[in-house]
Amino acid sequence: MVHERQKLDLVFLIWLVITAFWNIVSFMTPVRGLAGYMYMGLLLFWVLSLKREIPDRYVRHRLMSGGILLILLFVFRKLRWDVVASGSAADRLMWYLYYIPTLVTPLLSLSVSLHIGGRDRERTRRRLFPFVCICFLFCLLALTNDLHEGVLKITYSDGTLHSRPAILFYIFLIWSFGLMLAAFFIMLAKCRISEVRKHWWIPALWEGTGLLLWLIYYANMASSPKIGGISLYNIQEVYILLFPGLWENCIRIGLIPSVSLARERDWIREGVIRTVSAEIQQMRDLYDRMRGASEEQFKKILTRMACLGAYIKRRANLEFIADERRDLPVGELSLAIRESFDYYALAGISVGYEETGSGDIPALLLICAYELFEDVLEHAQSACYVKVQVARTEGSVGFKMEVDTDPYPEEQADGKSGELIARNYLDLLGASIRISEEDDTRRLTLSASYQLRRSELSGLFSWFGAANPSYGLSGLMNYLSLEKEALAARISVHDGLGRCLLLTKRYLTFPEKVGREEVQMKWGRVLAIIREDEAPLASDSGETGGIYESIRQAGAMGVEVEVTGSLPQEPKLLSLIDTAVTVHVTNVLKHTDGKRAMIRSEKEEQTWKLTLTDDAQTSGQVIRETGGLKNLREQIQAIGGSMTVEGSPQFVLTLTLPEETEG
Amino acid sequence: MGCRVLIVDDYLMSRQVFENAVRSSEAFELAASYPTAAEAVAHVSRQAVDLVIMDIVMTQGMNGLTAAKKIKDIRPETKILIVTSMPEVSYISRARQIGVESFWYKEVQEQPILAVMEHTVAGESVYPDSTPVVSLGNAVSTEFTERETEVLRELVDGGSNREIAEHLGISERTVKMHITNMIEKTGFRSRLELAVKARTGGLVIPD
Repeated sequence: MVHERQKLDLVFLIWLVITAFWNIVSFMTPVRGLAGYMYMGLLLFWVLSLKREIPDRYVRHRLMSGGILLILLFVFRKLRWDVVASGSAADRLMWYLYYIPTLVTPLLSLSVSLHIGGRDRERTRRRLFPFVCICFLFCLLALTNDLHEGVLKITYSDGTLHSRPAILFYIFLIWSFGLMLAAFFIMLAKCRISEVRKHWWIPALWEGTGLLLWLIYYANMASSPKIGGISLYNIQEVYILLFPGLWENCIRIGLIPSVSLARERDWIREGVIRTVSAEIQQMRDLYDRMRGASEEQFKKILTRMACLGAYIKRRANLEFIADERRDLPVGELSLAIRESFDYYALAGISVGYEETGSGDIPALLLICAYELFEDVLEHAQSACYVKVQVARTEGSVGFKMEVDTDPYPEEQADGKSGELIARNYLDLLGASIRISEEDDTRRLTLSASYQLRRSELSGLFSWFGAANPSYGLSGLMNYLSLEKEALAARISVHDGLGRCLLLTKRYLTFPEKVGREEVQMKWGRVLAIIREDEAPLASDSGETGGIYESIRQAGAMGVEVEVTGSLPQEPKLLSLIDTAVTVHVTNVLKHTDGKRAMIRSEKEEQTWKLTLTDDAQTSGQVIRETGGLKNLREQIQAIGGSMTVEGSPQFVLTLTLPEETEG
Repeated sequence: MGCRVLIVDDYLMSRQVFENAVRSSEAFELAASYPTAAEAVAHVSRQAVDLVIMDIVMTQGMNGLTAAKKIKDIRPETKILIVTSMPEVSYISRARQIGVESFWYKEVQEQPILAVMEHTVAGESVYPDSTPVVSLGNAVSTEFTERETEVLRELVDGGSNREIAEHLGISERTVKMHITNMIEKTGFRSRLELAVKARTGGLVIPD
């Protein structure tokens, strides 16, 4: 599929080629100077196209500024050659004004390259500050050349203005070339360690061509190279290659996240990986049917919603973890599959899971494996068995997942699970899929083999604020919403769904202990939270009714919560403790045989110390911080607190919170 | 000085139960307690023990029966008491073949574990009278013939009809017949459900 940006790129390219050609042949036509207007139009079109395309405002502002400066370069040239009197002060001023775009756009290029995928914006801006000061000084020197003639030595002969380059002219050249080269190499480096590395040559080709033409121009005494007396190009055209040309190609390959590419990737993901929007819609439809349903129907609907909810929760969890890491432990797949199985077992499906080997596998492969599993599980009639194998040899890892199901006969012939996904998986992951059928059993086998990654590059360019190695589409998540909002989104969906699922399980297992209305209300609330996630977030302040509501709900789910000591009264701290209680209770329910969750709160000098334990007999577990624990740690660190987790000999979660939070 | 006992079980609670049993009797002394069979084999190769209490199914590494064979190869005089909660039909016969002295089902507990330990170190062989009966759908495990159980084992192993037929030296048609019979007995809806339930119920556990 050709996404919208690619169509636009084609228009840009055709426009550029026609304009460049017209510029060369214009001397043969009565219409002079048209090429300049065409270039200005192209640049204006490009600048306007960025407004809604680039979600990262740091990158967007710099790109748009560079485009506007280049438009001004053409305007100054137009004014100089077509409007003002030759040799006049205004003529000289226009000439000096050329230097503003030629000095500033290389700096903007460097700034864009540093901001791509970067997280510490303030640090990047501080590092660039000296360059900004130098650039300002250079611009000032260029504009005041009449006073010192450090850039150009101006002379007049027969009323015609002549000039010779002075020392600053060459310094400006070194400055421009140096910054453009630095931007180029930083861009290349970021291509190498991001998901777009296969396409690095596209922007490299443009930039390399631009730099070469730039060098030829200035080697030719800062004048247009000619063939047969015909002027081939001017320096302002070279800047179009060097600035919009370079960065537009970076947008095209995905190094600079853009809305169009995100949509395209969503489309790919729809063909290969179902998005959760379809499941959310199904849940809404099921919820609407809940109200008037009989008890038996209600349970069936609830079971189906639980299956969908578990998928959405796990799927979202995997995505969020994949934001931070390129590779994920295969145990994450195990957790996701087992949670899905918990709920399908309630629906009467006989399930089993087996795993051999351990290790990390590429996050996308893991997510695709989970999607494939869910796709197949949905069609199971009575049973599903999954076997996952990870085998490590020297330098490579082999991954294999076999999913056996007994689909309904009319669904066996459906090739969707196999052919379409197989093709796309093969394209994206180099994985293979095989489907075999015997009697009523269908086996789908996903196999992939990959080289172990080397992580040393990720630290190599840290001075440049180079992208996190897992940068890619995930970077768009951070650009589209602030870090805190994304974290809040993650927490509200994950925790809300998590509690709802546990309550549902309890209702289906012990219906006398949980009311139908409570379950129904809970699902209504969760769907409202998820719906809010489709637009800029509102915080879910009313979700828990506070920590005391969470404690009551824990009791409803079968875990008694005991709180010793007084709790802080500040709402933000209380909300955080509420989250910690929820995470703790969830872990007790899901991963242990415990029935009591104990929370001890102590006020120390300027901190609150909370210790969360349980009465589980299963101990000595290795704790992996994913999902709830991971979100909790991020929240705590955001307010300046700390968190430690011990799994052996007993589970102990210790939170140290500041006495007061800011704002 | 009591008999030195080595305990091997991947589940902490089980190990603690056996440790408590050992400590409760002056006739026994705890030599070591390990969560994996490999550690136990390594221990026995370094120093002798009198009795090994060995679980069968371990989450990591070799299973208890394989470890028992290795121990018997290293120190034939060491007595072994196999313990398991799995009603897998082949365990008892395999334990006998290896030369394991005693066998005890954790869930059934025909006799107290301490009594079995005392009998075992005294030179007796204590085996349950029968494998625990496992419900499988509408049937129980004792309703399956020996051949059906063999076919079920191959099925749980993931074999196709052809592979099962080849392994057992029977025709594919016969394999299908046995599977169909078992499905009818159990009331399950498919061969996959039969395989999954047999596996998760502990009736058949692949090595």
